[in-house]
Formats: sequence, structure tokens, C-alpha cells
Amino acid sequence: MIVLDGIGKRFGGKESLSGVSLQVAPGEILAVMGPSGSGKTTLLRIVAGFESPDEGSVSIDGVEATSPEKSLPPHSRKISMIFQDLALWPHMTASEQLRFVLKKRMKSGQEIEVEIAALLGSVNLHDYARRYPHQLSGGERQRLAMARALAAKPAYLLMDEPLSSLDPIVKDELEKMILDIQSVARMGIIYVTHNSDEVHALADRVAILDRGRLVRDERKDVLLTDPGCELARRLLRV
Amino acid sequence: MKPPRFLYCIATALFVLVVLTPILYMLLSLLNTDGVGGALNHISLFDRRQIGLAGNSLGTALGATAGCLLIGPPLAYFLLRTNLWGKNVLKVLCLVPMLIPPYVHAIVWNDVSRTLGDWLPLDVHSVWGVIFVLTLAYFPFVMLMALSGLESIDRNMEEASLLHHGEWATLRRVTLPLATPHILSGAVFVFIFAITDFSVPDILRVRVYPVEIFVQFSAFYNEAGAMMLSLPLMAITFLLVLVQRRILKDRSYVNMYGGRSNASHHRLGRWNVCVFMLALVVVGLSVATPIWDLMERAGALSNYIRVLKTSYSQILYSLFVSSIGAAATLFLGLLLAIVIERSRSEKVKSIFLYAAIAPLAVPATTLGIGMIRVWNRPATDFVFESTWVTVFGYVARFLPFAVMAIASNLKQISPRIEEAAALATPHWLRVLWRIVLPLLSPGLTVGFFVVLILSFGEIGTTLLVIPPGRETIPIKIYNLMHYGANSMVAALSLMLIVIILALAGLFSAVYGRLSERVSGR
Ligand SMILES: Nc1ncnc2c1ncn2[C@@H]1O[C@H](COP(=O)(O)OP(=O)(O)O)[C@@H](O)[C@H]1O
Ligand SMILES: [Mg+2]
Repeated sequence: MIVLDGIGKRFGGKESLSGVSLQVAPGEILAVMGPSGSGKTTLLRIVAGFESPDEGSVSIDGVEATSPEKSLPPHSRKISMIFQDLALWPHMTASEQLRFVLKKRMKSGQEIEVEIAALLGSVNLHDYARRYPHQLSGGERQRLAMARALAAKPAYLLMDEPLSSLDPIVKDELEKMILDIQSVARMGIIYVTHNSDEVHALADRVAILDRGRLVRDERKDVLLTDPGCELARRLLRV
Repeated sequence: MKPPRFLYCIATALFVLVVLTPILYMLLSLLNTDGVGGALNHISLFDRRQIGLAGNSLGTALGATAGCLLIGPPLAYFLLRTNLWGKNVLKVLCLVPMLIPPYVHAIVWNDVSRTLGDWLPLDVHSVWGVIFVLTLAYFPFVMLMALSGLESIDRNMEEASLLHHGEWATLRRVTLPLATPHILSGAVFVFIFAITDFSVPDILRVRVYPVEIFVQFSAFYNEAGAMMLSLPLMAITFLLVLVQRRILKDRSYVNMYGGRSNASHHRLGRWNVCVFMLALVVVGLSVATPIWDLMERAGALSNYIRVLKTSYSQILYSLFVSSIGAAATLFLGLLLAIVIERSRSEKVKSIFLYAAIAPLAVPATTLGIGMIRVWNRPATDFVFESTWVTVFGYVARFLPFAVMAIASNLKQISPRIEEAAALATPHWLRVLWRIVLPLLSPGLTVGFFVVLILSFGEIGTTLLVIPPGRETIPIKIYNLMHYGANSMVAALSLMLIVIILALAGLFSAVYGRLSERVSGR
């Protein structure tokens, strides 16, 4: 379980997040929605350990990960992240990217190669092992980023608007793929988006941020029948 | 918007007149059979003497490059990505050595070795001494290139690795490979600077090509010989310039608008002390030693006043002529950069590009000889005996820097912006004036000050072409040095450094304001 307790973050005096408390259980997909600039990316970066909050704390599976005093480095948090711009490494081929991540938890070279093939297979990129990111299409890059994030076998996965730049057909495919993977991996996922279709397709629960404040945090079906505020109604298109 | 034809004409005419003629003249003089025969009487490229010369030249250049690679990139990383103590102050201090002209470093270490004698564990009058001095003078350059490389890396790429690995693994597998093109290109520059440098080996009495070229010309009047000696040097250097273009293909030299703020810093922990001490040693050798030694030698305040009294006209003249030189270089650089970045034809682009950076490959002394040959004739005495010859020298030597600074800025301005303006007015010059130049102001500022500072310290070419009665400060320092006027040399060198630092300070103020305005922040 990821537990955020009273998270506050300021950039140069301007409040980006304030008093945000949230929980994500293993196996659950929490969609975080909000207009742009509402602090969604900042929230993910705090969970991953790239920013430290000015107030509040983060704990992951009972371990204190972030508080204003101390901070667990990102690589010891059992977390993976898919960045908004993917951040694929331009100087590595698809298989090299996976190999670099896999080295963290596997020693034997043969084992790693087998796992690379399996991961590429799970995102339908078997034939693309030797391609560099710039030789892939948008959807293929997205899938490679997915495979790279899964390679670490994370307990939790953070996704920052992962499908926002894709066409509707590729988007449908990828939503299916995420659900397939989730049915096996059972990770806790924080899924940032402002697209209501993705929320309908994927989310178990929905949290809504408005200018750094958490205004709603409900099960999806509850929120769909009773949005409770104008912002939620407009974001979810109900 | 396609540049109009008159632009190509002006750019070509000026370039040919100022830059190309002296170089071509020298090359063509070799085709003259008499020239080759005469040269071969004195010099054969392959006898033992020549091999020693080649060894010294390559050795010093490779050594200095290695030295700069050893110091520059690590410093850049520690200054930008870690929580190193006092890093903001250190960053400024580490740029200073680059602003002290290399021959001043050489003068200082020459002096230190005389004072310390055997206590100094290095013979400065050797290839190693030249390597040492050139490293101190040029490591900030590689550091700057590494900094701009690091700043151009999308932080998310490093963070994507930090999710799974620690900081050192991330540095090795992601950060370093992504910054490598910038670092390598900095290294190529240092190699070129080092192998074409005349002043440092001349002062430390180590025989390398540029020194030998100077000697052949000024002591033996063996012009063809001097030209023969320049050939291998120009060949190596031009090859490297090509290599460097490939490395940096489509990457800008200076990251004009900086990276985004660095959220997380690599915490050094107990390494902080060690790194800090090492940085202090570097600053001590490259900044504190020169300043301290020069002050020590310059002596009482009255000496400075005496120097100021006897040299203020040269100081003013130096400032004047380098400003004219920088402005002229900037003008020609702008024309060339526009052609290089905005021409429709790839062929035209590359012809102009390679022409514009070719002067990098020409040793300063070779250029000086070429200029003497071209301009020293009755019909053109009005150039040769005036300020113009010095200005032309500056343009010919430093044009590549202006072109690179402006072109890399222009590359970042989307041609769509110009096209949008072209919908509003049919006049190309109007678009240039109202849209392109304001957006280019950071690049123009970089170009102007780089050329100004380099010109202000220039010695290799001016030593040959400067007309009598029009001494610049570096020439005066050089002359005083040969008369053994030690305290005056020191005082004047200090003044040179102070003026250059003031110019650099002015630059950073202007540049900061301009880039803030242009980037809309
Ligand atoms: N590194 C930073 N420096 C300064 N301000 C920042 C930084 N990161 C985010 N912000 C500010 O915090 C607010 C929230 O940003 P962000 O989390 O990126 O929003 P979202 O992802 O919801 O669009 C914005 O106003 C943004 O300008
Ligand atoms: Mg965002």
C-alpha cells in the first residue's frame, strides 16, 4: 500500500500541492485527474522520490519513504514510472534498455536474455529488439516504455498521461494491453490522465486534483453516479 | 524565408577578401616550382628534425587534450549535478583560467620554475611543461562544453534510470553517453587550439610547428619553407574539424536557454571533502598561482601607475581595435550563418559551412605570413599600414567562433517564425531586422564577446602583421618580455587580465538579460 499523508509542495513560493492524502492498494488502479497545472506530475514525482515534499510523508508498504527530513532513493522504492514524454534512452536499442533495467534484479546473462524476449513478447515488440527509439512509431515507443517499466517487476507503477499523444485505435489496443498485464502482475497503479475514456476503461478509483488540492477521492462507480462537483462532472463528462 | 541573392554575394566577397586570399595565396605559392624547390633546399618534411617537430606538436596537443578531458567533464558533473560545497563560487572560478591568455599562464609558470628551481617536480621547458600550461589554460573550455551537454539532457532520462539504479550507474550508462558528443567536440577544439598555439611553446622554448613556422619566416625569410611546415598541421587540423562536425551533427554548441531546474541532486556524502579539495587544487594552479605570482612580481603600486602612464594609449587602442574586429567578425559571421542555416540547397550550406570553419585549421603564424604577402604592396599599403590589417587578422582568425555561436542560435529559431512574418511583409530585410535579429541577440552577444576577448589577447598573427606604432597590449607584453622588463610585464599582464574579466562580467550581465527576454521567462 502506498500511503500519502498531507503532502504539500511549493515551487518558489507558489503552492503546487497542499494537504494531499491518498492511498493506493496493491492490484488497484487509481486514476488521478485534473486540469493541466493542477499538480498531477508533481504528485507522481514525489511518490517516486524525485522531489521531496515540503510537508507530509509518503510510505510504501509500511516503509517510510519520504518525509521532509529524509528520503529513500528512487531505486529502493519498488516503483516504476512511465514518464509523460517516455524518456526512452536515445542511445540504447530496445533490448539494451531492458537489459540495463534487468541487471538490477538478475545476475545470469542467459536469464536476462530470456526475460528480455518475454518482456518484448508481452508488449508485441518481438521483432524490434535491435531498434533504437527513433526507429519506432509512437505506439511502439509507448509499449517499449511499458516493457521497460515492467522489467523491474515493480510493486507499484506510476503512469503520467501515458496515452495522451496516441490515435484512438492505438489507444484502444494499449488500454487492453494494460488490463491484460495488470490481470497477471497485480500492481498498484497510479494513472494520471485528463481523458475520461481512459478512466472509464481502466480505473478502479478516481482522485481529482484542483490547483493542488484533492477535491474528490472515490470509487469510480460512485463518482460516475454522483460527481459531486462541477470540475469532476466536466472531467468525467457525466 | 529564403535569403536574397545579394546576401550570398556580399558574404562571399568579404570572406574571399579577408579570409581566403591570404590562405590561398600561401597555398598557391607552393605550386610555384621555385617555391617548392626553395622550400626543399631548407626543409624536408621527413628528416629527423622534422620528425622531432611532429612528435613535439602531436605530443603537446594530445597531452593537453587528455589533461583537459581528465579535469573538465568531472568538474562539470560535480558543479551541475551534485551538492558539492561552494559549487556556485567554484563554477565562476573555474571559468577564469580560460580568460587568462595562454601566454600569461606560460609567463607565470616560467617564472614559478625560476623561483622554485628544483622544488617544482616538473620541467616547464619541456613537452610536459607545455602540456601542463595548455591544460590549465584550456580545461575550462571542455568543462563548458560538458556543462552544456549536461544541461541539454532531458532530466527524465536520468530519472528513468534512477528508478532502478543508483547515481553512479546512472552517470556511467545514461548521463555520460548522452553528454559524450559535447565533451568530444570540446576535446577536438582543445586539440586544435593546442596544436596551432604559438605563444606557449615559444615562451617555454619547445620546438613545435607554429614556432618553427615563425622562425623560418622571420629569421630565414624562408616563406616557402614556412608554408611547407604549415601543410601537415593544416591537414591534421582540417581533418579534425570535419570529425568534429560529424560528432556534433545537428546538435547546437551552446544550449541557449538552459535546462530545467534540477530537482534532485547527487548527494556526495563523505566524498564531498575529497572533490572539494581537488577542485581547490585546480583553482589554485590555474587562478591563484597566476594572480599571486604576477602581483608578487609587479611589486609596488607605483609600478602599476608607471605602466598605466606608459601604456594607457595601447590599452585604449587594443580595446578599440578588438571591438572593431569583433563587430566586423560578427557582421560577416551573421551573413555566413544565415546562408548556412537558411539556404535551401544542401550543397551551398555545406560549402559555406566548411569554408567558414576552415580558418580554425590555419596556424596563426601562417595566417600572418599570408596576410603580409597579400597586403604588403604599394597598392594596398593603406590597409597594411593601418588599423585595418589588424582588424582583418582578427576576422580571419576568429570568424569560425562567431559563425558557430550565431548558427547554433539560428538553428533553434523555427523557420516557421520567419514564415509567419513573411506573410506580413514581403521585405526580407524587414523580417531580419524585426524578427530574426531580436531572437538572435543571445547568439550575437556570445559571438561578439567571444571574438572580443580572443582578439584582445591575440598574439600569433598580430605579432607578424602589426604596423609600427600600433602596438596592442599582448604585443607590448611580448616585447617587454624580451627586454627582461619583469615587473612591467607582470603589471601589464595583470591589467590585461582585469580588463578581460571586466569584459566577461559585462558579457554575462548582457547575456543574462537578453536570453531572459528572448525566452520569455
Ligand atoms: N520544477 C518546477 N519548478 C517550478 N515550478 C514547477 C516545477 N514543477 C512543477 N511546477 C509547477 O507546479 C504546478 C503543477 O505542475 P505539474 O505537476 O506539472 O502539473 P500537471 O502535471 O497537473 O499539469 C505548475 O504550476 C507548475 O508550473
Ligand atoms: Mg503533467
